[in-house]
Amino acid sequence: MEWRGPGLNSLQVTHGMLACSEWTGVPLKIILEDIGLKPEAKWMFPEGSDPAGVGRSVPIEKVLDDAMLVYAMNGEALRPEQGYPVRLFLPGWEGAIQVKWLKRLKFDDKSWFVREETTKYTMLERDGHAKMYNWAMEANSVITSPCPERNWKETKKGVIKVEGIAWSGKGTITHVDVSIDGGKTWREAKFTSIILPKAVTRFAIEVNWDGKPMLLQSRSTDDTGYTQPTAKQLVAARGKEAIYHRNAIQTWEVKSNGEVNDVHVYA
Amino acid sequence: MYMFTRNLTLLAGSIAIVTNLGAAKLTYTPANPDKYPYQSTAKNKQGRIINVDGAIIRKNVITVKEVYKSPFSGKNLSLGKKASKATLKAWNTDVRPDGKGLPDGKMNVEEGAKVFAAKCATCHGDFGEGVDRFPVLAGGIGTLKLHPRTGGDPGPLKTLGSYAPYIAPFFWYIQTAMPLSAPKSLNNDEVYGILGYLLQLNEIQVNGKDIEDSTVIDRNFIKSVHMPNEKGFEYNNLRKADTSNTRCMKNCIDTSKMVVMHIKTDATIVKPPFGKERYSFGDKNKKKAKGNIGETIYKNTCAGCHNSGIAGAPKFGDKADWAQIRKENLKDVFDHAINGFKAMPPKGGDASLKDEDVKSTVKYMLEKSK
Repeated sequence: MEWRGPGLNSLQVTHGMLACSEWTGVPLKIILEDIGLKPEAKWMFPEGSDPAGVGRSVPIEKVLDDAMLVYAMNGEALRPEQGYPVRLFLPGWEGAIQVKWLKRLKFDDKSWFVREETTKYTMLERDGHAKMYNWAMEANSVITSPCPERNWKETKKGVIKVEGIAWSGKGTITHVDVSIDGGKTWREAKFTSIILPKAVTRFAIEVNWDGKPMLLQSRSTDDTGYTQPTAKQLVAARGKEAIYHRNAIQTWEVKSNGEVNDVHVYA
Repeated sequence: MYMFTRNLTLLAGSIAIVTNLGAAKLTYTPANPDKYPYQSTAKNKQGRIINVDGAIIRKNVITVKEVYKSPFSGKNLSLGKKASKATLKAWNTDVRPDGKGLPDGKMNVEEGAKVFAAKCATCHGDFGEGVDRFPVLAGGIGTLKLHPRTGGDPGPLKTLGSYAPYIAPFFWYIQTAMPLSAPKSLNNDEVYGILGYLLQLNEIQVNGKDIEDSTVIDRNFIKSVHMPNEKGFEYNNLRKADTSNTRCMKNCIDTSKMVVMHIKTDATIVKPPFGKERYSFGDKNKKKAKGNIGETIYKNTCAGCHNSGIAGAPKFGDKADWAQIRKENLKDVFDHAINGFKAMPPKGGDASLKDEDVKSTVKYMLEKSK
């Protein structure tokens, strides 16, 4: 989203396509230990039983690492729209590969190059070639208060708590830093929730707001040593046609009247 | 060529780990379906070996080989039931880039074009140009390097012809997911015909020859197709980060050079607002309902088929076609329009329409076809 510039003045729309739930099911590894797996099985093809029969190629390492077949979400049976009766769950990976209404799993020695992993969900770069098999969600974060929907118009000036969430599909969040000047100086925020790998982690920090405009940013780092990139760094690496997997540092512009807007900062 | 030779002996045995591909710009390695790209571990900044997907480092990561020889393997806990041959035949429909999985069947391109006109053109257009916001399937070859600087510049046009690396997997996709209104209804011959027509629309040459109307499309033909963008993909580099920001805390940027981009057009201002009930089809009819509602609904919902008279639809304005309809009981005609009849979907495919409005539309169409 928003590769070509800011256009969505809403936290729900810029970062709303994120979910973090408690899943109940069986690790695929255990099922495969029972039925056996031939050495030439390098890829898995899960296919859904929905009208579009969504299928994707999943490498066997992920299958044998932490992939699960899940039947419950947040303590209740999967709802129809969440993939009842059983869906595939690949922690930390992009949503479109988490096949719902699972019909079958096929194993083979090569991947399938299906529509959803070639003409869709690929990153077209400047030189005309595209990156495919972009699975893991890299470290990301966003400030949820304030944000365009939850501004400071009715908030008293002074020390105000700024809150947000951070996550990484590759590991555990180790630091979140917050800047009020568009990225020149940063202060480390505190975690206010339990910290789990490949899960949303809450953070908070006190900011002394004197009523002057601010450019509010958050920046997360995970335990692979990766730090969330700036918008400039991400565009330099991928161009502007990548569509998905945009994890650039988000900037909220806080105006002196307390209004909060989505802006992009390049420096 | 690598892509159509499958050599299992190369891949059998231990897991082949290929180091991360394509680090430098413009010198990427095309994605090769014969090569196994996945890299499972990397060193982090502290020099520790970690799983690339996560920081959970397991001492006993199970490899494929170990699973195969696992003490549980072959114990036959007899959970579930074995798939019958019939189930396997019905479900095992996937098709790989090398053509593995392509079923029997054939159709020439001329016949394929007819199937396309009847089953696909309502959304994708007669020539794959795409109706409204439905996917464009033809053209765009050579546009992938275009990048818009402003809103007015043309960007890359990603179509089946310009972007897809392999055609064979689309056999599975089209047969499984298309057409939108009746997925899994196309037989093998029809899918071969449609694929042939789509290749012809994209002016794809096969073995140096153009695809003619008489060209017969079957398993072997599809296997011999090379798409223009076959080498246009490189394997994911997100496994290895492509940016390297650091946790700088002070004087990180030169604020005198800072550019703040504001929103020019806010794409989130929509009516009705998010969270309110929305109609994907009914809305546009309601907005314009001031004039003749029959005319509005006809243009939005019915014209796709009735304007050209495809799939047996009585052609709008064609006196002879509608004279036949006039002979029928009007109640039956309304019933056909509301509940569907032959290729005609109920309410023309827009379930949100009221019965009364569908009747007005039928009256409008009768009136205009006298």
